[in-house]
Amino acid sequence: MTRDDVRELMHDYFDGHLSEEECSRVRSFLEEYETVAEEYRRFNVLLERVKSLPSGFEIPKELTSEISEELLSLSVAEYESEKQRKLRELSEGDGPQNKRGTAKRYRSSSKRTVVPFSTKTIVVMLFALIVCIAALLLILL
Amino acid sequence: MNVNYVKYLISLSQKGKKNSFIELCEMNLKPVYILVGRTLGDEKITNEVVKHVFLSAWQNIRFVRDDISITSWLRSIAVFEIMEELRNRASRKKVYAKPGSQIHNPIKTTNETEKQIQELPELERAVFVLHDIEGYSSHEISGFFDDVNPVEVRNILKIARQKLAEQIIL
Repeated sequence: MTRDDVRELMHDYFDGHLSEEECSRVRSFLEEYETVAEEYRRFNVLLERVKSLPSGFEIPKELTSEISEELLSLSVAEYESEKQRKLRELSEGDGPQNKRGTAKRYRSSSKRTVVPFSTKTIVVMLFALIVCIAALLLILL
Repeated sequence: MNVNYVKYLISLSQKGKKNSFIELCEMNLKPVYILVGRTLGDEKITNEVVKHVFLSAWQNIRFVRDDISITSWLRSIAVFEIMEELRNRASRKKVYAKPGSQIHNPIKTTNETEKQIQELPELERAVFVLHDIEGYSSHEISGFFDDVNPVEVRNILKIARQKLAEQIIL
């Protein structure tokens, strides 16, 4: 086993990926070579430090209020999109009300042709007009 | 953190009570901020990504399960959002005119090791934080990235450790 092999194995040793036999080989090599042993100690210190790393981060004080504002704007946007969706469903007749026929009624009323008088009414009105003209002619004669 | 109170806040949040959710945010802001900040290193981008984490959590609050703590759940969302940021650089584009992988505004910290982690290149920093601090395996980290296999993750990790270890004075 070369020094580079041991350097490679050191990482697996730290992460617990080696068999007991490989671990003892790494340990015996570390006892033998001081330079690799120093490298090992550095890794050991590093990994011990990061395990108990205290966060020295300063969390911005305004971050919570910014999250609240974004949540509020998200809620407004959600409300608006929901409103638009319901309106769209209503106009397209795909909404839940369609099952009860309400939206269908809206749709059919929008397509209805406007006819002021029925055919029967027109016939009656024409007959009345002819009678009136006939009566007027009789009076004049 | 009182477990029953947290559960109560979760149930209220699931019913749409925003104030309860904001209280949950306040309770979990620190662990989420630390995870995102350590991995991304830039203060402005971290702020943006942390906001995404909590907004995403609000939209998915109904999926919170009883067998997982809210902090773990938020951390998993944070990892997802970090990966999204590394892949798409959406927040970077929003915050900076010329997005790149460098840190424009390093997060202020008093800890020397944190500063050294911040100085690592982006991928090495992400792998080191996720593996050695957050405890994800190289297979899991490989799954987070689209184009890095577990062997490559191990190699990146070794380089990052080597760089950090060299700075340690015995």
